[in-house]
Amino acid sequence: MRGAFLDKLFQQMEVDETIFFLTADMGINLVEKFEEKYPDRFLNVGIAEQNLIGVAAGLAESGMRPYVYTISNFLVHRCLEQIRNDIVIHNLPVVLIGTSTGYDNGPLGPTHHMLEDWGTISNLQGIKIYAPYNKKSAGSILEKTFGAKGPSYVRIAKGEGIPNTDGQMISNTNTKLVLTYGSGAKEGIKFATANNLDFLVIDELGIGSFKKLDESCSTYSEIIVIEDHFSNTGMYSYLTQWSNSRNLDIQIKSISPSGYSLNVGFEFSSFLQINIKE
Amino acid sequence: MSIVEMLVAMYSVADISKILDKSEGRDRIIVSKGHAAAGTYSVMHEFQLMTEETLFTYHKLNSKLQGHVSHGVNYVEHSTGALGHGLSVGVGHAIFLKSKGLSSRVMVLCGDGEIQEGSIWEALMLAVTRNLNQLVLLVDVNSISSIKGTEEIIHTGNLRDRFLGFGLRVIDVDGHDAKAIQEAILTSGDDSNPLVILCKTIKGKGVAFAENQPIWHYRSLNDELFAEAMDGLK
Repeated sequence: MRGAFLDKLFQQMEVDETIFFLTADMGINLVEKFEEKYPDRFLNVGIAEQNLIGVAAGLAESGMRPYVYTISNFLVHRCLEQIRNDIVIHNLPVVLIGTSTGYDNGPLGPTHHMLEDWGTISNLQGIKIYAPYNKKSAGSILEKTFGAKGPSYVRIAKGEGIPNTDGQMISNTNTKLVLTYGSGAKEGIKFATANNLDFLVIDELGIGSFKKLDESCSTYSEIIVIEDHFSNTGMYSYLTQWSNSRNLDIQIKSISPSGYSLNVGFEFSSFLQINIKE
Repeated sequence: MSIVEMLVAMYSVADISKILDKSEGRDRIIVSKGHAAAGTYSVMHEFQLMTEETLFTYHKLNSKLQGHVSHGVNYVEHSTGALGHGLSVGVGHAIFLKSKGLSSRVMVLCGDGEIQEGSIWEALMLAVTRNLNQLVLLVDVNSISSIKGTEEIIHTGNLRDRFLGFGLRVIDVDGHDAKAIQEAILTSGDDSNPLVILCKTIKGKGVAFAENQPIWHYRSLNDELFAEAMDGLK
């Protein structure tokens, strides 16, 4: 998904001369071509994420459209104040591209687990949050950012995602639905299929998901949220807000991480399998 | 008060007509120590960037003129208030200008307490690496941080040596001599390095009871003290 997103962005740089690609020294074997072909619209700021965001803000204020790339954990938590003050308050069209989500970096320890990134970002008002679930979804999200007037955060899980479909199985007869996204999608679909449940994979998160929920979720009596993010600021939380705001009587269940893992080799898929069985 | 002459110098050097036009090639002025809003807006008024009517709404209910510099105010480049942000944003502007072959300057005003923020040094390293010689950092060296003397909190030693060590060109000036600051700014671009101007200033300059008193970071004037301050400034 990451490669597909960046390839398409690379192509768009030829069309749109305002696109400026920035990285904080991440993206080996992915970002080199940007520097080679567009040296005036590529910048590696070094391992300096606070500066990364401030520089992107300055470029955007000068009329450029910065795409800012690094690993999600460094992108979100290190520079939350810069994202809030310099990007979001100014409503600048900066696209934050965070790679790795949930337990994608499981063996690397809790500093590299991304369990509260979009929940943190979603507390900022006016930033769109996306989570592609396959290459097609990644391409569609990227297109949405091209004309955006304000900021976006794109949270890209490792790997290819789910098979290249539209990410849903809505039967109109089933009363139970599995709602999932990002790195939770593969296991979520497996669980839904094994139990003959409907499923919906979403690629816009937070308040931005409500339109899709209105279209697809109102008639279910039970929704099981399977996510790679803490539930209190994740999709479980937003789904309950959505359900409450629509006066719906839906039983909402959560399968999600809790707390930080100190175990080497922690994998989200095995965690899910254990918790789904329970 | 310590930054008044620095602001005057920056706006004197800038091409005000281009700021008014908001043209791509305008000089950029970023007040990174955002709490200097009253001084910034007063000087903007002197340079025809704000009406007197607007200026006198400062801090009044529903006014755009809040206590920290805001981009909600016309011709302000960037909102500041949390310290250590403005220089990175200025570096972004300077990279844009350089990539377009535009010779305008980016002038960023920081406090000497503010430069304790690590992000300042991240921005400087990039500015030097990219030879951003259109970038001018003016440091208000009033030697007072938030609640104490700067040196009492963090040992910064010889600031000149620190900036030189990072690869910048450094000029020391009397921060209350607007003409000297202006001349220093005009030397930017003389070589490939970004320029730092260390402006030695007195906090609360001209108001005897407030000079060099950290508490006046926080206090407001009552009518009596206002009259006394104005007498001192005459």
